[in-house]
Amino acid sequence: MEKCIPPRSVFGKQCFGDLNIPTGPKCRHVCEAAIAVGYKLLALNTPVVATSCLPQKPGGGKKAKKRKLEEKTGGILSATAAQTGQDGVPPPKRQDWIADLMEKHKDVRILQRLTVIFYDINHLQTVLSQENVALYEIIAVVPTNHEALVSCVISSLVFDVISFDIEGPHWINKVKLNRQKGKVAAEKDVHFEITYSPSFHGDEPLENMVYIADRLKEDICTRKIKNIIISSGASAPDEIRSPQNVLGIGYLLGFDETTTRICIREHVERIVKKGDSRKFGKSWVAFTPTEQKEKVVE
Amino acid sequence: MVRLRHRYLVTEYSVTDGRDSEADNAAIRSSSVLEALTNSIRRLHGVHGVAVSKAGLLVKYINNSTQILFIRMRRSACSLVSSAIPFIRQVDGKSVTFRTIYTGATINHCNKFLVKYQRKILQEQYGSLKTDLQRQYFQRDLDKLKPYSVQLGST
Repeated sequence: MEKCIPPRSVFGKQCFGDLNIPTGPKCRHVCEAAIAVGYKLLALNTPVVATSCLPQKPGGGKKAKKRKLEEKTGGILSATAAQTGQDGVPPPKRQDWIADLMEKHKDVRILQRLTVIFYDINHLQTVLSQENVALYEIIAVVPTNHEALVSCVISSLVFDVISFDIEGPHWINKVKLNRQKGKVAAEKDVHFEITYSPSFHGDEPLENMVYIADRLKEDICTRKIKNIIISSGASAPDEIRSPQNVLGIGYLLGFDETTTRICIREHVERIVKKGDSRKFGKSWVAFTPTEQKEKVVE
Repeated sequence: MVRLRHRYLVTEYSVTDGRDSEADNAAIRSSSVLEALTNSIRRLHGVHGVAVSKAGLLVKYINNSTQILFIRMRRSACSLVSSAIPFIRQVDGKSVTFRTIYTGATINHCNKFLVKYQRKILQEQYGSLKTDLQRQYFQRDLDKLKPYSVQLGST
């Protein structure tokens, strides 16, 4: 069983956080760049596609043949299964440099995050009920169509963040939620995420990012924004921006300075605390009586 | 009659090419920075953004050895320009990233901040030295920075 390390600096000074650093070959350099510009809470993101993590039925047949063919050709949907060599959600990658970085910078915390890309709520339910999901501190979902978005907001499934793939093949095309559903999401403490580094790669991701922000601000979230976070999604060290530059990006998204600062500080801390309570909160306390000397009252 | 009010962004840049960043490779020109900044504003805010920010937009100071530059703009265009800075990726054909470290109302304020910031960096480097000999050589090199000599260590 994995050793549970209690969270540190829970009551410490508020700090900036970036909850979307994709695991990749340059992950360590991205983390070092993020720490250098002032982020203290980081989360390494492991994306999985829900259909590739569903338990496979035993036996052969057309689906098994199709799966083998996809594994040979290296199809997108089976990439995760091919890497792990097994069905289901992979466990988080534990690497030595994470402990070294946290040892070097005492006030930095590096977490593990799972992102599930899905189009059917039943697939998401099956994936989130697997054992390895409990090993991650933060759970995020990426709905790929409008029905998936609505159903994941209304459902009683436990996750922390709803994110959008603004650059890749899983772009949702239309975000249409009303204020009531936004209120439901806020009450469940589910946050919406906006990533900024894909917008450096072209005009279409930039347009998608501004579209998401506009929809969240105008239609979904209330006047006082309670559940939006801004993260990088940076796959290279030069895509990380300092908190002060993120304030400038917030102006582009239509948020004022105070709101942007809250989106990269308070809301991030709330997500981390929620993840900690999910992981460490299930415990019991025993009260045992101590020996008491009988007092003789004269 | 009120005076024209400006804002100065103190920005640190880093050249992120694959080669070792030597002094020549890391040198960029102020005119190229201004051109890249204007293109970024045009891409994000269109013709209106360029027109509003053009007046008073200037790279006031650039230091290629410390990789610090001061960008001046009108106060009304400060949010516009600071929102365009994160999206600059190339200057003079080199892959460059900018990081805003301070926003000041006058050059004096920016200078005062820069002195404190660079002193803090020097103190961190001084603290990371392990032997007395290394510290002596470090202090000797700092004393050569005439007319400004910086004293570090416990005072």
